[in-house]
Amino acid sequence: MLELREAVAGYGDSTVLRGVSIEVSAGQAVSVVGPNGAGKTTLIRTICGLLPVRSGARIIDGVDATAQSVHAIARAGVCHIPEGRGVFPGLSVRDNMMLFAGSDGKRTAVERGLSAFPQLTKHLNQRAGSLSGGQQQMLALSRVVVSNPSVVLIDEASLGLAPVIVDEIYDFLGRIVSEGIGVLVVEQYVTHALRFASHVYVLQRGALVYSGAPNELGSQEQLFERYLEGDLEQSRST
Amino acid sequence: MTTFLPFIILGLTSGAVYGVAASGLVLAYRTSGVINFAHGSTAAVAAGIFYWLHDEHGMAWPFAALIAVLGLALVAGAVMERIAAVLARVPTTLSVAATVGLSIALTAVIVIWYGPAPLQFPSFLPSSTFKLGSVLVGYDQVITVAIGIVAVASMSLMLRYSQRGRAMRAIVEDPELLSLTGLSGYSVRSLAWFISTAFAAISGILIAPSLGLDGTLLTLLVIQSFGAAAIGAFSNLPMTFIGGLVIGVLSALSTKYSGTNDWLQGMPQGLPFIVLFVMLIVLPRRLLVELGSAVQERTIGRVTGGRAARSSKAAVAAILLLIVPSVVGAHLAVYTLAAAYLIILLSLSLLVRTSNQISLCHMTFAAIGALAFHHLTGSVPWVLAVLISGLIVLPVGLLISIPAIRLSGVYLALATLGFGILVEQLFYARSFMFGDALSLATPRPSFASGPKAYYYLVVGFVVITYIAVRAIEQGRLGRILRARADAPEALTALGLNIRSTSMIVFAISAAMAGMGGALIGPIFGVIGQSTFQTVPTSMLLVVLLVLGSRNRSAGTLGACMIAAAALVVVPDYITSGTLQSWLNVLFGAGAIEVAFAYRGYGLSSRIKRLRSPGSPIAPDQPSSRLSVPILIEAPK
Repeated sequence: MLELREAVAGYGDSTVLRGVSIEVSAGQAVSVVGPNGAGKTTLIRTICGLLPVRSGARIIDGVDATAQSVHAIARAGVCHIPEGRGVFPGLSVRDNMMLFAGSDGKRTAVERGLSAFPQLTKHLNQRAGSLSGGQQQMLALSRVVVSNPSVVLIDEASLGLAPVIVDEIYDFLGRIVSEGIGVLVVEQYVTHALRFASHVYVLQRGALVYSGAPNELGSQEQLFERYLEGDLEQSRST
Repeated sequence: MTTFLPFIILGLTSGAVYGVAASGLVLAYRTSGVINFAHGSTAAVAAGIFYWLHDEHGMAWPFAALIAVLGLALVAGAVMERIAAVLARVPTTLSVAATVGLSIALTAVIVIWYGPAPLQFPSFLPSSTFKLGSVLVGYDQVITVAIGIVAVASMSLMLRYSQRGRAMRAIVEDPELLSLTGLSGYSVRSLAWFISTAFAAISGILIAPSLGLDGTLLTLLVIQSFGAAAIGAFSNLPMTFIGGLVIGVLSALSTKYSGTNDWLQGMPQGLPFIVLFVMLIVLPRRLLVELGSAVQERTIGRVTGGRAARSSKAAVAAILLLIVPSVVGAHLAVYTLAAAYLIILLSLSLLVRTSNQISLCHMTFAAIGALAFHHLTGSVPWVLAVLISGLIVLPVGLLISIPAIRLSGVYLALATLGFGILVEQLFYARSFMFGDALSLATPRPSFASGPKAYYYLVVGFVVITYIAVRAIEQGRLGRILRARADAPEALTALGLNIRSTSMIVFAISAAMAGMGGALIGPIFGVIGQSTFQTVPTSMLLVVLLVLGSRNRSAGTLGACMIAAAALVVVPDYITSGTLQSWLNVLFGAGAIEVAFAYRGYGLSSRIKRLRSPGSPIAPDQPSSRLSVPILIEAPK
């Protein structure tokens, strides 16, 4: 159970998130969608502690974790897979999996990682950077089974990958949700995200404009209109 | 064989020490992306602490060694981690200047502590010997080699098979991802610096009995380390250790011949750098990718103030330069020297500021220029001799720019440092350079034979150099160079040959430095080996240039004037050696401060960060543009 309450965050002098509240409970599939620059990545970075919460709160399993550091939040069971670079390219696949295990559980790390993605077996001693994009994303996702988190945050899980691999990744995400892990997916391409999630947040200009079940959000056309409306409001106000 | 064996054993002993030092250097580099030029002076400080405990206070040597090694390593683990975390994200110029500055400061601390004269450092390991075949081997030698092997082997195993070791390999690639896996980057880097410093300390204590307690000499341990590290391609620890052994043995063997062969005289000292230089040229380029360069800032500071502000600043500088002879009295020679150094600094600033390349051998160019001038004077008109001296250095600069094409950042700094030491150690004493003659005549011209007239002549050259530097900075070449420092790939996409531009600027910069050197000779009328102590001075030049750039409003000329004043003028007024050493300590602290300021860590926020060491260094917090020093300044 992870919760962000009225969180304000940003970079340097600029504020990106303006009071966003979201929650991900155990076994829940959550999607955050929104147009370019809406603050999706900022949101995910704020949840895992890479960005400080300027005001508001971050709560993990009922405990206030607003001032916790990144590695403490990770140890508390939050697993963030960053966009496009969730692996250490210079290390072998085996070393990557062992590192993903964090400070304990590294003995069985490789075994567990391979059970989720058996395709990686023959690449165990290969440098992660020499894998294909899809294989790298799988290696990055193997962190979920290796590190035993309670919540997984994924930034742009499907970006730049072949459709077959995207399907495989979403199958995997569905499986871990059914195992009781909360999953939050951030996507620019909404089709998969909406099909996957039981709860959707629409983020626009750093604020939530929708929170609820995906089917109530209406058709994709309506969603795009929502995006456009935001843009129009934005251009009117400036 | 028996004639070689003693030298080989001697070489293996010192080589093991180099290997340990180099492994520490490489470990810190691999985990933090910072090549620590202060590695040797850390070793010197450890030797100093050991000497204080063991020789001055009679503590048993194992305890003294333990305290010196652990104490220093604990402090460095905490402090160097903080410094390196910042240095990893500033331009290489600044980070090199910062650790070079730290080295200067630590060496000065030793001088303050034990005085400038080296002290005898008694051997503390058992001195008894045994016979190996026909050769006597000391137990101290066996112990030294054993310590080296155990230290490096255990660290290699740890890096390979332990979770901490894996984290150390991972952290330089993606510190953010590492913290996302639940491992604190702070503790990983601290441990790396702890081990690195412990290794430096061990090697310092082991080598001190053969070198004596000499801050400068012990500091040079970093040089052997660079050579050994190059053999290990700055990454492979066992190879680095073997590299240390190779350098140790080759140096020892060359001592055997240096007595009989003139050419080998400087070889023992120059050898590590021959190795370094050769390795940097022959190693495949992919092995020499600068670590952490992806997270380094590329922002190029924009200078404030328009043409009016610029010309008023130039006017102030001009007035300062012009009134000097009438106010300084007997100190005029020093100011003339400072003016000549101003030319060298301007040439260096062209390189450092516009193309973000770093050279640690500009004094070598100056020395070659001065020599060329000595040979030319008399046969050609005086002014022409100065200009030709510059031209003679031009091809030397081209030669050095060959590594400049291949290498970037810190590797270029290392290659130039290598070249400087090579020339000083191997060639200075040769007859085609300074030779045995204590002094070579370098007269003033007939039209400016008085000290005052000669001062103005040098200032004239400064003005010409300044105009040339400005013209290059503002012209097409300057634009290309700045773009090259900013986004080399974009430049290639435009169809420009970036290799030739870096060669050209290096050669031009070298030629200017050569001219500066040519002008130094006539100040004293003679030049000799001691006029151009290249390495320390070249290092100081870079640090001072960086320090001079601290004040944004100073501009190109202002930064160089501050640096020249600090290098030449201030020491002349300070007669106390201790005070001068304290100044060096300040220089070092200043160089680090400049790097910190670049990242926008003012004093208050830095104190805050020290209190909460676990807080992440957010790469996305853009550094405050306001505090960017005008090190790489774009002309309007």
